[in-house]
Order: sequence, then structure tokens, then C-alpha cells
Amino acid sequence: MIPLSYYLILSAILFCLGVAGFIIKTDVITVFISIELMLNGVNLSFVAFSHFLRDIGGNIFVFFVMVVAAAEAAVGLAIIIAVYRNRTTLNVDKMNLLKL
Amino acid sequence: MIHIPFVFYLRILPEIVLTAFGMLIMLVEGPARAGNRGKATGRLALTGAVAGFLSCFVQARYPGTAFNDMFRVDAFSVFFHLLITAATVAVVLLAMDYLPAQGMERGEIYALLLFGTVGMGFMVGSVELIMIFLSLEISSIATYVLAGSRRDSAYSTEAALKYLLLGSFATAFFLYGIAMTYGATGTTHIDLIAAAPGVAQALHGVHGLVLLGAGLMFIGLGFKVSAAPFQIWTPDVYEGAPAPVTAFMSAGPKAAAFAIFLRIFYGALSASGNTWFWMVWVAAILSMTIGNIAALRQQNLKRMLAYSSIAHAGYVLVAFAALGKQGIAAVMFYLAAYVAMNIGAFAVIAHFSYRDERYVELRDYAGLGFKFPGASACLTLFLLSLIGIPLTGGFLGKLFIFRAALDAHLIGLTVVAVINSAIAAFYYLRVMVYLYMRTPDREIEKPLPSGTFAVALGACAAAVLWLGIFPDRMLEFATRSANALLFHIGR
Repeated sequence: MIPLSYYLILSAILFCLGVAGFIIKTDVITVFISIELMLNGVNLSFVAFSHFLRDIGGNIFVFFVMVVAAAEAAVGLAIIIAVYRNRTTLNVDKMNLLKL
Repeated sequence: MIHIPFVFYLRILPEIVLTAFGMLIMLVEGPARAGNRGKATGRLALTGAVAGFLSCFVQARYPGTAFNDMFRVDAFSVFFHLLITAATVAVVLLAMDYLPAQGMERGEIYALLLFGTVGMGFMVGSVELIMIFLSLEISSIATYVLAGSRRDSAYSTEAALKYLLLGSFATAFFLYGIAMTYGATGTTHIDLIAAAPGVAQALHGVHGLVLLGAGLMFIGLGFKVSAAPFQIWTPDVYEGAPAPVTAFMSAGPKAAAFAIFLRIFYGALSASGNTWFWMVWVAAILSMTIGNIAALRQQNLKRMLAYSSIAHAGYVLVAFAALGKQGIAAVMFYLAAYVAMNIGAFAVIAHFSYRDERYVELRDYAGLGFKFPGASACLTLFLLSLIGIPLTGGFLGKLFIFRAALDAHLIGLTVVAVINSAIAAFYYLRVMVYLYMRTPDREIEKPLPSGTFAVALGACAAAVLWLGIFPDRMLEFATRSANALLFHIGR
């Protein structure tokens, strides 16, 4: 049987890849997908804990995370389209009307 | 067939009322716009927000838990319900003045304000991490859309994009923290986490998982309350979003995020308090200092208030670090005062901003004190309260925070907070200098007089003065709420 720590390490790697992508990438869509990767890393942790604790709560949590991720994607893509209409670019480095 | 007692519905009555009105607005929005009666949705939203506020009193009569122990009505949740719905009433009044003047009167903005409030209501009442996460997202997603509600403006949509990306980024951290806590304790219920053996062991450094969870949740919530070093989105989003939305964001979601902050850290993780205390300590000092120093050099009033809101999050964290009942009560009192004075200040900015928010620079306020004596006097009152001048709510809020911090022997933190209050006085006073002592170098167009604006402004001013002169009832309520929060973990 695969030990719990393997799942947790994989989940941490996925999460960190998401964080790295969020920080490094300049395309809005890629940044958005990086966030989804972070959420899926978390989901893996939940499922692994749920299995090893023999508690259904973690699995249920994953369903809610997926629902929220879908809602966030819907709103996010709508906002991205609105930005594109105004700016005709999706490069994060060019999002500098408001000085960061 | 699961039997659901009727009293459960009474316990979430404010949320039911607000959801019903939100959906009703979406339904009548089409016919109202086609019939050129855009004002109807505004009135409906106002009715809904007031009904939501009043139904909090019904809710308060039925303390207890609802829906499988996921939602709890106690003094703590009622306090925040009243605060949040009152803030929404003020913001809806403000929007009824602002939106027609800007030519962007659209029903969905009102509906989203109500839906966001529903999320915040569930946030402050939930005692189950799944519910807390879901309601945090309900409120956040509504606010992302609101930030971009000026769809044809590159500034507003950019603000929405930045808010969405950094907000979801923070959510992922919060969620990872929940996962770690779940793994360490095997439950997602606040009371059960508090009772789990792993949490107490974290005190002795045995259980790293709980600490990791606490740290990650702190990052996620730090983003939501715009505490440094996670404040980076705040100035941009506050500047780009339409002014009433900024007022909304700086009041409701912030108060609700602090409520779940209290619920999770004082409710679930209180046994490992000595270890997460230092995170709060560092964040408090950074937030106050970064917020106030950056605010000194801002010319845009919305941006200045954004930095000031970072600094105020820092003051609240000072009381948070006091780790006790007095600290919790100080947090809650300060949030009440902060909501009133901040919405009031943004109300004035929204009113004077004119079409496309043309006039939000400091120089546009030169000489306004004599042209618009009423609104300027109110703005002065709110700024004085933000500084912390006696007779205002802001003063007593700060006083309670410093007292709680001193009682907890946080001398260093209190000294930094006092120095910061002195620095902050400079940039607030500068606005008053412009209002009353400068002559304008360009004329600004007169905003239309508006009844709803006057009501919103009067209510905020009255609340600031009431909290500053008769604080007893609010303080007593806050202390009772702090007791309710600590009761369930047996402290």
C-alpha cells in the first residue's frame, strides 16, 4: 500500500508548481490555470486524508472545491473577456494602468 | 425523509430574505429597464437590505445551531450580521445616488450586493470549515464581479482581474490550510478541531501539520483582510473599482473575514495560541507601518483610503494579538466604528466623483468646504474619526485596542501603533486643509443633490458620533459576543 506521505508530497509539489506558475507566467489564461492546479493539489490532500482517516468529510469537501472552482472559472473568463475588450491584450505585465 | 425543524429557517432568515430579494431584482431587472424605470430595482434593493437588517432581530431571538450544527446563532454571529447588513443598507443607498449619476444604473449591481451580503452572513455564522469556505467564495465571487461592474472602463476591469487572480490565489492557500488542519484533526468542525488532541500538542511543537494549517489559513485570510505582507492588491483594486463598490469591499467583506479569523483562530486553534501569536504580531506591525507610510504620498483619495484601510487592518490585528476576551471585544468595537466611518468617507468621494470618476484627486477637493458645507463637514468628521480624535467612534475604538494590548503586556506593539496613529494624522489632516484652506485651481462640476446620499451620510455620521459618545451599549454587546465565541471551547 502506498503510504500517506507520498500523496501529501505529490500534492505539495502540485501546489508549489501552481504557485510558481502564478508568479512566473505572464499570460492571464496560464495564470488562471495555475490557480486551478493549486486547487487540485489541495484536492489530492483532501482525498488522501479522507482515505487514511476513514472519514467521508474530505471527499465531500473536494466536491465543493470543484463546484467553487467552476464558478470561479465562469466569472474569471467573463472578467478576462471584459479586460480584453478594453485593452486587446492578455499579458499580465501590461496590466499597469493602476500602478502596482 | 429528513425532517428539518422550522426554527432552522428562522435562524438563517436574513440570508433567506436577502437571497429572495436578490433573485427578485434579477427577475424585474429586464422589464424595469425595458420600461425605462431603472429606479425600481434600486428601491427593491433598498427594501431587501432593510428587510435583511430587520430580520437579524428575528434571528437573534432563536439562538442555537441549525442544519446539522453547521450554522450557529449566538451573540457573536448576530453582532456581525447586524454590522454587515447595516453596511449593505448604507452601500445600497449610496449606489442609488451614484449609479444614475454615472449612467450605469443596472439591476445586477444591486443583486450582487445582496448576494455578497448573503455570503458574508453565512461566513460569520458558520462553525464548519466547509461552510466557511463556501460562504467566503459566495461573497468573494460577488465582489469580483462588482469590482468590474464598470464594464467599459479599462481601470475597473483591470481592478476586477487583479482582485480575481489574487483573491483566488489566496483562496487556494486558505483551502490548503483547511486540508492540513483536517488531516491533523480528522474533522472540519470548529468545536471538534478545538477539542482534537493534535491542536493542544502543537503547543509543544509535536504536531507540525496543525501549525502548517494555521500558517496557510493565516496567509489566505491575511489577503482577504488586506493585512501586510499580503496587501499588494488593495490599492489597485480600491482605486479601480467604482466608489460604492470600494465602500462595500472595505466594510462588509473585511468585517466578515475578521469574523472568521476570530472563529478559526480563537475558536478552533486557540490551544496553539502561543505559536500563531507571532504571525499576528509581525503582520500587525507591517500593516500599520506600510499602510500609513504609503498613504502619505498618495494624491488620489481612493488610493489614500486604500492604504489607510491596510493600516486599520493593522490596528485590528494589534487587538487580535492580545489573545483574550478584551481583545476580541476591542476588535469588534473597532470594526463597527471602522465600517461607519469608512463607508461615510467613501460616500462623499462617490458623490463628488462625477461622471467616470473624474474628480477623485486631492486637488479637486480644494475649497469644497464652503461650497458644500454639509457633505464637507461630514467628511471632516469621518476623517477625524479615522485619525482617532475624541468624541468619535474611531477614538474609542483605538482606545479599547490599546488598552487590550497593554493589558496583555504588548508594550512594543502598542508603542508602534501609537506612533503610527500620529503619522496617519498627517495625511487625513491634509484632506481637511484642502477642503477649507486652499483655493481651487480648476472648477469641478456640481453633483446633483440627492436624498439617498444625504440619508446614507447622515446615518454614517450619526453612527460615528453615537459610538464615540455613548459606546456603552455597543461595548457591552461586543463583550457579550466575545463571551459567546469563547464559551464553546470552554475558556
